[in-house]
Amino acid sequence: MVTKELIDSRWKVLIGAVLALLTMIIGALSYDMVRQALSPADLQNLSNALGSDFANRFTDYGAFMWNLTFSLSGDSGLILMVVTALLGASVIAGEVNKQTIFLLLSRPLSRDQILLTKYAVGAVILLALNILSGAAVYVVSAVSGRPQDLGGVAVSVLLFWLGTLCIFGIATLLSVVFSDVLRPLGLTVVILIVLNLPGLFPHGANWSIPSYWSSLPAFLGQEFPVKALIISLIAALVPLLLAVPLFRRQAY
Amino acid sequence: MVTTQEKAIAHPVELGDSAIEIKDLVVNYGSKRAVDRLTLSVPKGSVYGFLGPNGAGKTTTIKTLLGFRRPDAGSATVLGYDIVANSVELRARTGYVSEVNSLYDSLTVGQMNDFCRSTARQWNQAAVDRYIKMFNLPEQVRVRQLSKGMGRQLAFSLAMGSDPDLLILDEPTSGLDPIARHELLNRLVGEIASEGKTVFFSSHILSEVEAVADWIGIIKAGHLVVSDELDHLKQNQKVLKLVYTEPPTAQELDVLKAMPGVGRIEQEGRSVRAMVDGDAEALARSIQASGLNLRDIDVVGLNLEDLFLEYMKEDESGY
Repeated sequence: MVTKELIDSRWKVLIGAVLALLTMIIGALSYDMVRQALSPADLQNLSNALGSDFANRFTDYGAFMWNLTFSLSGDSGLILMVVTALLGASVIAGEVNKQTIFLLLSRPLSRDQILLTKYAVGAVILLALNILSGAAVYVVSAVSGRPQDLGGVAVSVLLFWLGTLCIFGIATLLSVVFSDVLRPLGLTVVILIVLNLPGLFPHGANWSIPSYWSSLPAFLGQEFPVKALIISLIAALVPLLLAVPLFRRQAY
Repeated sequence: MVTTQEKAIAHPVELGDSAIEIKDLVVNYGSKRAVDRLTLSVPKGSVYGFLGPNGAGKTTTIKTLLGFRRPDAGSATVLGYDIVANSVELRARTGYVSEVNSLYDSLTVGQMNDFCRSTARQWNQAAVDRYIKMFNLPEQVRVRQLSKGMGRQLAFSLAMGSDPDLLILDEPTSGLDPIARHELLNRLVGEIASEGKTVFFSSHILSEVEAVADWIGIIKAGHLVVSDELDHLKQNQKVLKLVYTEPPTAQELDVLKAMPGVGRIEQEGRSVRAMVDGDAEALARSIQASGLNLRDIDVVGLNLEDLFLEYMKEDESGY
């Protein structure tokens, strides 16, 4: 079953990984260009409009790479989240849509076993993708003469993986409810946007779950984000814990 | 290489004479009742044809037996296992071929075999190899490249891998050409039945059911119309064709209807067609002796298609 899951998701994963890596590498290589293109006045304007943390992303290489790879506002991180939603949306709905669910359910496996195996394979794939991103950040930074803290990168990988697990869990839960892949995918994106909304308000970041999936101080090796890890872990487990009993009762 | 893989010791169960036992099963799709207090018994070792028009509840019954959906009321056991409480155990000993292509298109024939083997409790690779060879299925080809008939043959071969005591086939030949149909049913079902396994298959192609089934059950609008041995049914269900000298009066028809074993009656001018349950020849003799104004009387045997149509009509006319 594990082999089947890997074969099933190979193209989504490969395309997603290549896109995320390319985006990250091209972004990293363009750092100096962006840095030089922004005048001190531009940076001041950015700082005034969006805060000094945001402006720092263009003046500090570490913050730039963190934003690019481990933040939802970074292209590479966003691509990873879309791949995650796509993987999750097809966990059960993909089987229903292709009618392979009847073969799967006819096997002597419990529904919990089926869902948890599929989830575990997805979680391992996402971990591999996150480790790949982290490794690429570390290597590209080292090659460009601006090495990053290895522990910080590792913690960022772990945090962002928990973030992708939360999205994967939400998409999986929705894929149990709907019989096509499109609706779970669309709704997952909507939920992701809604989860981000509190962060748009002053002091709202505490109420925005995605804000816990990435931490600049942790990336720079300045802190260990215990609170963020606990909140991200709980957020990752909740949708899975809802999906299991729902799938147990679902009729096909 | 021929291998037989045992992954777990089968849970001991007490089997009666029935492979499938259904009692007052009710299954709803929202507000629509798909299976309506269905009671049915499938004898062990039988080839049981489960018949009914489209939408009669055949597939829903099968899906419920296999645990794809839960019954709303009633109960059922398959090979002695309760369909709700022991669904996993019953599936370990049941082979299933769905009415639609439910194989993974992206996998090769060999990978499909690996998938089924890895998800089975016990696996008889020799049996799968034998069927794959019999059907000439190429191992390296992806499922999406197989024809519909070959896809069915593969599904069937893989269903045999778990060495099932019961094989459930849902419209196994739908969409297949006559040669593929013949190959799949006449040849294979006969072979499986000769091993003492039970085959429960739904179909609405009556000629193929008649060719292989020894038991039939007819379902309509979710409830069972009849379940009996096919030979017994054919022997006991006949039609009496009566030709009166003059169009029969209502009183004469009432006399006929009141006779033992006479079921539904159809009248067209001087001709009357009466469905008879029981000894039709004896009834014909007693009708002749009763002094009715008859020009001719004839006992006609029924094939499965005639029987099916008669049962459908009976049900419509309230019998």
